[in-house]
Amino acid sequence: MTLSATSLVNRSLELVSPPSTYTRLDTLIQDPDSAIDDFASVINTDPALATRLLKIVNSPFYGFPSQINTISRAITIIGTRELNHLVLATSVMNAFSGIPSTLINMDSFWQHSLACAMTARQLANACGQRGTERLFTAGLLHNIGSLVMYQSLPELAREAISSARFGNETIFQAEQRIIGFDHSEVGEALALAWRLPESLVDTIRHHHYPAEAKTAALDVAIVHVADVMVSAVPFGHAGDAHVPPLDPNAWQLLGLDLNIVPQILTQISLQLDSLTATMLKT
Amino acid sequence: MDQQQTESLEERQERFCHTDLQQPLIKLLFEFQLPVPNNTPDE
Repeated sequence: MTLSATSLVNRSLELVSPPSTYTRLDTLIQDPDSAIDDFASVINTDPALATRLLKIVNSPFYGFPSQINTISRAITIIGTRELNHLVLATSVMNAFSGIPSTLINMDSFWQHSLACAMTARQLANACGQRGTERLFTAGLLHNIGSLVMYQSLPELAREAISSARFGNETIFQAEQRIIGFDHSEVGEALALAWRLPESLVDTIRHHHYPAEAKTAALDVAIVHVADVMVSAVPFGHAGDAHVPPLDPNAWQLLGLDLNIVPQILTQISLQLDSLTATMLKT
Repeated sequence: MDQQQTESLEERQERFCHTDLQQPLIKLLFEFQLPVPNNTPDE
């Protein structure tokens, strides 16, 4: 049987369980009768998760003037949607913690992803978007398909990384040639299996080809541009040290002035080490 | 970021080999350097 992105994900789901707390909280967010205590109860059933979340909301990234000691207080201050996106982010980072360092430097992978997340959120803010926490999550998870490949197809993934590094191919071209599909297709299949929001699925699938976006063209364009920006500095890398090609129409769609780019990158550089340390060590 | 500080022009061109340096955003990113942090110790 020919291996496909979907069959690879189905085979990998035993290793990478769905982010169940995120799903339960998302259901509560849709329920108009839910209360803060309901959210807190769900999170507190996982003490390790609750501890990680409190460390993040008390980090310099948020910069709140006083200590936040309870999940209920955290929800009051940052809101249910923001907190649930943090739940998803920390759950995913935790789920893929077992990938060998001989294949990829995971700290560097997550540094790239976090930089993309922060940049995507700042670009979204500059575009006047609301609910920009979803762009943080989209930036963080845009390469999640790579992690499934590293975990379940390590030798082929290593060959693709090596080919992209020493040949004339991008990483997604090398994956297509060597494996038959690329990390964006695997990411889409995983996001669908986990029942993540449609805009997130679209962003993960089309972040290298934003013109093919189906339901969230601006979100996809923002993450595409953010990925190019943070690859250019570079802030970490996700298996390919090259800057991916830019679709100029994606940048046009954002409608931003170029002057904002150095401002955002400089600001990210001041916050990234602290956020990476907090997210990776919690 | 250490890589950026020690990167030669050739290495940078190699890193940008999949991009079009004529595109304004890419041109800006190719030339962009993060500000050097001020490490002057406090008096």
